[in-house]
Amino acid sequence: MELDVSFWLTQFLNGLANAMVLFLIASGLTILLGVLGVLNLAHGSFYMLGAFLIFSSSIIKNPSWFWVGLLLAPLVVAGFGTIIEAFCLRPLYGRERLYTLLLTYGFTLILDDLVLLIWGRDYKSVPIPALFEGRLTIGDFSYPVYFLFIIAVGPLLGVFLWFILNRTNFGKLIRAAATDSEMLDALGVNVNRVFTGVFALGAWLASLGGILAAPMRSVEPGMGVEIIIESFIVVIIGGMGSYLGAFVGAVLIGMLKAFGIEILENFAMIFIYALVLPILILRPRGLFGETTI
Amino acid sequence: MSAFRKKAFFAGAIILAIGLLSVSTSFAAKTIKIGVLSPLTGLYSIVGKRTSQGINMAVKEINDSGGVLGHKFEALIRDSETNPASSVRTARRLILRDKVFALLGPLHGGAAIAVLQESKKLKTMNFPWAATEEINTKFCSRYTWRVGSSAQQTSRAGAVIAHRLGLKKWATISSDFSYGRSVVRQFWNYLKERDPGAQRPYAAWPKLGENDYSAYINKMQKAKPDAIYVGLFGADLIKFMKQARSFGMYEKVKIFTDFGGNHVVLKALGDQAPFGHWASSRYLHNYPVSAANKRFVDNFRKAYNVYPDMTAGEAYSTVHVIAESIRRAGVVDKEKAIDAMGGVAFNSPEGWIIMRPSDHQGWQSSFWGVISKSKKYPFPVLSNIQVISPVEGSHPDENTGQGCRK
Amino acid sequence: MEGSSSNKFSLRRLTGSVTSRFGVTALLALAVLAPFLVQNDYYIQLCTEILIASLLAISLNFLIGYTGLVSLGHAVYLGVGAYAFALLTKNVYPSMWAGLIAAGASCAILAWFMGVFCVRLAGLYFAMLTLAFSQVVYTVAYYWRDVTGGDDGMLGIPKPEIGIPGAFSISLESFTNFYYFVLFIVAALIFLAWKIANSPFGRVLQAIRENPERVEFIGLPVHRYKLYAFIIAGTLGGFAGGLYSTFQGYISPDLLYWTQSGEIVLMTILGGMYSFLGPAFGAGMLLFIRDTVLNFMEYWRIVVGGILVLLVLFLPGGILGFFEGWASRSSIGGNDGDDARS
Repeated sequence: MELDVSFWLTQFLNGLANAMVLFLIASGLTILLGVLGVLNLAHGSFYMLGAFLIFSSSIIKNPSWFWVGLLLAPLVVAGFGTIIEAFCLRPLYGRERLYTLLLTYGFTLILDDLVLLIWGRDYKSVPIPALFEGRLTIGDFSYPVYFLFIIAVGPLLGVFLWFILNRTNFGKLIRAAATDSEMLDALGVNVNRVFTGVFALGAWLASLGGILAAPMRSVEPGMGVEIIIESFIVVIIGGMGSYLGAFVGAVLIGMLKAFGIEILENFAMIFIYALVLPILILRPRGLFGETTI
Repeated sequence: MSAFRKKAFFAGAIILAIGLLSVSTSFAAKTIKIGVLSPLTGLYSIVGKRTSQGINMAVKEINDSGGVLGHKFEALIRDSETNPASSVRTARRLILRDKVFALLGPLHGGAAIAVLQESKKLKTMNFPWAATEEINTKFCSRYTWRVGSSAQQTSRAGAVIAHRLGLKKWATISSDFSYGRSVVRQFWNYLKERDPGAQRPYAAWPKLGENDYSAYINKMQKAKPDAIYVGLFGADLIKFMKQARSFGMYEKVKIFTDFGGNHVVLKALGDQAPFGHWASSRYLHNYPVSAANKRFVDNFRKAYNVYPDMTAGEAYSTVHVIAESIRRAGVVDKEKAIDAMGGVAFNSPEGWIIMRPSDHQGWQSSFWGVISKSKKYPFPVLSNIQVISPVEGSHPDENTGQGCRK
Repeated sequence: MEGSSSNKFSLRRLTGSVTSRFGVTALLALAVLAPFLVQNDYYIQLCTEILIASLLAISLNFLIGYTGLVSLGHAVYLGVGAYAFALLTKNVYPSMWAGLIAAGASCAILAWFMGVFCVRLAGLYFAMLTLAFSQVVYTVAYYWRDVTGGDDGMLGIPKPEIGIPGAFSISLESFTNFYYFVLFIVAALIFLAWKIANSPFGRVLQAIRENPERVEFIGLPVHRYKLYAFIIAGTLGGFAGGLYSTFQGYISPDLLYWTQSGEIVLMTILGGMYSFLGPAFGAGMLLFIRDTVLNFMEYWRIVVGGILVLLVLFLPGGILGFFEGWASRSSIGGNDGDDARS
């Protein structure tokens, strides 16, 4: 029986590691939906950009490459997001929201080729940072340290987000904009600046997800397509605009993927939708949809 | 009205741009056009660039030596997007609009089967690189030929090595689609045939393009096999290897990877490669040590400053085999070239390839070796290379070639 | 995704503008003459694909443009229609008509089932539920290897000949014959859709888009009207799926994936969702641009994406919407200025 405990624990941690990457992407997506009402299809591209930037950083043969990349790459991507929001998305706010869908789709296409133009077609492999090499072993149980690092980063960022949204001025403005942006505008607040800030925050989070995933997954154009649909499902489950919902949704999806293959090996994905459909039908606003952020 | 005029200007500019793009390329007389479906984007994009390079090099060689029967070769390389629908659409365009002499690729198993149906209907030679076994059995036709190895050859060769090493208890993992299933089926059936005592407590079938293999790896470890056979291809294999390494699989079991000997995979894995484990590649830049291979590798490095990988080698050989069939036919004619194709022999960088008339498969040896660090190269290579004769990979099978004469 | 002030301007477009009669006649003439104009089998089959995509985009516009419901799962009908056609003609009976009816009917039933749940929601929630439903069907098609062939898809879907048994029959194997067959079916279905759109029923749908509360207040069952629109859109989409199946001869679960749904939305908005034929125009543009760019440059995505971004920023109301606006502006005298911008 000893073996089984470590098997189930490993599967649980696998689910959790998967969930934390999803959470980083979904949390940005959900805030964007809650505040701007924009379904940003280019969100997966920010995830991809994060991964490509950490690859560039990994070329520096210095042990600190990972930390430099972890600090700088999300800032670069957030800056890039700011430009997209200010110059391309902002003119569309007065129009049908659908146009933003079209615009962000256009950007996913552009960015897929842009990374090829910048980084070339050769395969990118990002090593595991030396600090997190190896496994943590307790008796029969042994688990990769890097996965544990990913699992630890998720809640840390969750707390960080909570702090920004609830304890800072910027957070108050975000929450106010989500409730009634016109009122905020009337009060003399520059709503556009709040929107830009939210977009940049989302891009920052998504690229962090890309950085964490890069050493374990492949770094390639188009890597955002799969992740955006899964994150979108997380948003549906958790409820639009709720970052707590994004956390819970991500954990649920991660667990279903890890344990689903125990029950129906090749049908594991079906469990995810078996969860999503009833939630949408019975509680369209998701599990935590009532509380806006 | 100025805003309106601005809009009109943009509309005009866009239409003009599209118009300019659609101006067709000039048609040079006396050229033989070959259409290439190269995986430039998508799951197999890891080898797309090398495929195109292999093609371009062969075309340049043929043209520099005066062409074939006074005709120059011209390669039309298009992105297959590693996706069946796009591959079929582009194949149709190459055949109907560009009137290509032959169609090369694609590499994706599902796409290859879809494209070969199309090329059969439109009566154009097709040389898929996918190793799916059905290509020479139930989907074979007069127009379908394969210069590259088949899963039957490499996977059975893998079973021969596995049997030699006396490994009994296996787990397998491969993508859930035609090629992935083909690879594992060929390996497992052949091993069972040679060693009825072999057992397989776990077979994993993750979907194509899966990102996270950790749950499957955990299940594999639970099954406690002596060895695992990995049929994953392209970027999927690299993701799997990196994750298997973090879970300590490299130390616990013997690993056999069907595609893992490919140069681009080993280069991408670098220090994280599974040293001491077995892998195969359908072409190797360091074996055989022949004049043909040395010339190919040297020229390839001179042209592109990289080493050729498996797909570069197969793409290169395919173009030369087509040229050879035209020479044998003595006339530039699609149908006559097909008539002459059976029995074409080409001294390729990986050794002689002979096009077998019965099932339209290129006869060639298979190579398996141990992944090792090398003093000569700055990346891992295969050493202790075992050459498995083509006879192993083509044992008589009543289904083989059943459709090839249709 | 909520309605915006551009609706005023667009309502006129939907019911037909000054140019529509002339435009439609010209378009139909162009479609009939197309095989003689392009003179190449490849372009004949590209036109066939554009016709099928047009039907698909127009069917989706029943939801987006008319009823104001943005569906992000419309590919489900393309896929289910395609699989229904393939399964019937390959395994049961190889008949073109039976296949197409199976495609339409299966999608009508599916749309009715999905619609019951979906139409109760609005805005983004509606979009999400349609997306989730389509992904469920995708997952089933992907993993149910025994029936759908899984990731490998289904091959060798026939093009059964049409005609009256014993009397005459027409083979559809030639590209030109098949083009005219598709043109006939698509034109008939689009005409039917146009009739529905301009019927009192169609006007109620537009009223629902503008102001659902008021329609409810008048005493009309809003949900039921939405459900009907959902079923019409699904059924038309199913026919498009059936045609696609026989056209390609090969189908795979990719047809059902969410990116495919996104592409149909793209066609619709690109051409102009407030104009009846706008979506068809968008379908044609998208397929033509992609076909051209893909074959002339390695980095085709950046060009297609760039064109999209420019169009969204500078041509609000879609391409056809823009040209219709232009035409009506010059005929009216251009006094209604820049209402598309608002």
